[in-house]
Amino acid sequence: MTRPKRPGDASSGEFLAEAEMLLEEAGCGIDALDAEGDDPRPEKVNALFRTVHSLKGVAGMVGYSGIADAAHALEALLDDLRMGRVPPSPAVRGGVRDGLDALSTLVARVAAGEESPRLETPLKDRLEGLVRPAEPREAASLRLPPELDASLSDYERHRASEAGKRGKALVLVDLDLDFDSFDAGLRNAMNEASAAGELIGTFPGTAADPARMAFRLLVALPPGSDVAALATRCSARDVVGVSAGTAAPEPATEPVRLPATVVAEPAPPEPGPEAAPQVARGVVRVPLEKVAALVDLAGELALARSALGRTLGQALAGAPDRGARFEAQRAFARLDRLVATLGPAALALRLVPVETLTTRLARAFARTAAALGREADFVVQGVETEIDKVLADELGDPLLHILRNALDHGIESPEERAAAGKPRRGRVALTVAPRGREVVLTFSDDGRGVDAAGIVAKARQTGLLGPSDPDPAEPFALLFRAGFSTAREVSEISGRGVGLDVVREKLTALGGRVSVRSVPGSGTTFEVVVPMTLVLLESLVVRVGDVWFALPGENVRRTLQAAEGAIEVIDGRPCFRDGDEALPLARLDALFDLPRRPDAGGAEPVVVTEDGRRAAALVVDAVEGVWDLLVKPLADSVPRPREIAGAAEVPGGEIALALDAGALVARVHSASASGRRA
Amino acid sequence: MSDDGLLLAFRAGGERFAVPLERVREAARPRRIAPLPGAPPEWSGVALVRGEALGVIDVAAAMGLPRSPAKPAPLVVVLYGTDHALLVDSIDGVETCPADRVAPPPPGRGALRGIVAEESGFLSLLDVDRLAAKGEG
Repeated sequence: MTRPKRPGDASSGEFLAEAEMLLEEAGCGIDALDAEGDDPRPEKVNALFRTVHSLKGVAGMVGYSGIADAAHALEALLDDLRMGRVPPSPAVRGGVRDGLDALSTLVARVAAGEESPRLETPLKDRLEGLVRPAEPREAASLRLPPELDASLSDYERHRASEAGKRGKALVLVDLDLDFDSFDAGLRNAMNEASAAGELIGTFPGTAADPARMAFRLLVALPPGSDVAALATRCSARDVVGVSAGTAAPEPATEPVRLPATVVAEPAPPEPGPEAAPQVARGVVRVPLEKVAALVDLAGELALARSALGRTLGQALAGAPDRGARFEAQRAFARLDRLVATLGPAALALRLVPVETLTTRLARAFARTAAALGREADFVVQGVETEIDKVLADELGDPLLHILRNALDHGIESPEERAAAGKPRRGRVALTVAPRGREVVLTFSDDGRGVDAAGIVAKARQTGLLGPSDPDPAEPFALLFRAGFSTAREVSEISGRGVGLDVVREKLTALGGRVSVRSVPGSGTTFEVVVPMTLVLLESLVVRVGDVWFALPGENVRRTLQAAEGAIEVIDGRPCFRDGDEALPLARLDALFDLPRRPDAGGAEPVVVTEDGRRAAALVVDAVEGVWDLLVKPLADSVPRPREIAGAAEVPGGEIALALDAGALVARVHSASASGRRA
Repeated sequence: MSDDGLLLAFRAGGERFAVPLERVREAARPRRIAPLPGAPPEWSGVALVRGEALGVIDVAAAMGLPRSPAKPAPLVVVLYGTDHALLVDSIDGVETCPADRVAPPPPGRGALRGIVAEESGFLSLLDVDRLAAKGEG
């Protein structure tokens, strides 16, 4: 939303969706504040302040001045709270809650069709009683270098003086960074400072050498902090203490150098950096990072298991005691099974029912329909389907866009529907179902549909298709092209095409894809496919020379050492006998024109890969292991064989090129059919 | 040839090059660049920067100089508007370039916008879009 719009037009749908999301965020924000009690962490207060500020902005832009006024009043209260002008007392938190409730009511009135709702008693008056002047603020006397003192914002000054009152030590971390890598160095130092205490502000410094960049971080450290260690972790040039508070026994110009450990008056105990997991009804909430750490460990364990398997086999081969050999193998088989179960179990911790997402969609749908004057039902099936928590959060925006599109351009007005012989009430059905390692979300509306010929004609008119370009095989794919969506009047011809390129971009970034099909007159179906676990793909990593490749685990049938004689030549083509099947075989180095390695002699590792229809065998130099990898797609403009789809970092720092199993299998089959010796 | 503008100047293959500062997203040191089989010689490979997979163009090789040798923590300049990064030896810094000092590039020197004569040699202004497009061809 970038320009003012009148209430009541299509943008009120957008406003409602956005306002609802902000209110939900604010609701979580105040819950978090309640959980923090009397000494809330500043980032919690700031987050809530920013959310309400955004809501004010959005309401103001669309012209809902009543909502903007109320949000402004609440924002002012939150500003007082974050600046320490009012205490974080239960009464004040209650006031914030009242404010949020009032805002929710106003937004609901917009959804019900009200032009410009306004509170009868301004929220400002209702919150007035809460804003009793806090105890007179002591002017913070910070002994900072004067140029820094001048650049402190009110908020930073408040945090600094607050830190002083709580017995924390204020230090200035001086950074002197290489121009080449200053951003990484600065980020690292800021992360370290935040980990060690509260990072109050970051200020530019003066570098002695023009090829270097200097910064200063103002940090509040809890008593007992190891300043020397912080300096080392930040790669700081210097860390000097500056004191806060009212007492200023020494002249303000010369900062005091701190001993390596900050000694301070005993202060009230601090809450730990992570709030204790909340336990409710047998549910444990765990931060995602902890789950990620567990998933990583499971991957490492799987690797250790494989390594043990290899050496154990060799060690046992020479063992004379058959009984002991059998016992060892049995114990290893059990370990193997357990480890294989652990990885998926850890990954499953990230999954939540898709219901958390669809509930949000249903609410936004009802409000948008009301705003647009549509009568329509939203029917959801498969809410128990599980999806990665991060995906459930990130999918909200693009899916809302698809829903709004269906309501705005698909579902006709009740009158139009009646005239076309359809029920007055329209219907959008969402079916969610797992398919392999992916989740498919299908949106079907029974609206007016999209005319393929109209889309192609429009694309020619707007220049997306040149005069000599043939009609595309997939005309609906044009809807997702960036140029297409800017043609606003397309909705008169096709009924679609506003901002769908953004939807596709977002879904692609999440590792998903979207397609559409439509029957003019009877409706449109969007199919959104996303990975169940966010981009983490169990992959087999193999190596050829010093090039690493990753194959999706689901495309690997088996890996084995090809014994002498397992490779036959049938009709002049190298083949690998896998059970009853003779599979075409290729050396990966030959396939990609990599320098041929001198034959090591003996058995070589062979990976049998399959794409669901066919299989092929690949000779590699080494099988490095199985990891859950974050595979990143490579842009089309990067020249490469089309079997290489992307790249992923392997634990340890190597980069593996991600192979597209379908293209790879096809390549081996065709290379083999053309009689080329692999 | 070009407006007076801010440039990021760097060295590759022993020569000085520059790109418009506004096209530079960041300088980064990825842990490594994975060679890309089948890619033309001016493509150094793939690097992961902030979790993004970028095609890396070896500026030296693209300019007809010997290919840059592989080394740990290579230095790349990540560009806006492309999915690419430039492999360079070192960064000289931000420089200004008066438009009237830019001479048209000598023919056959590749994707250049122009060159600027300096006390000891030349500063070559790279044409970022043609450089990336050259790799595609």
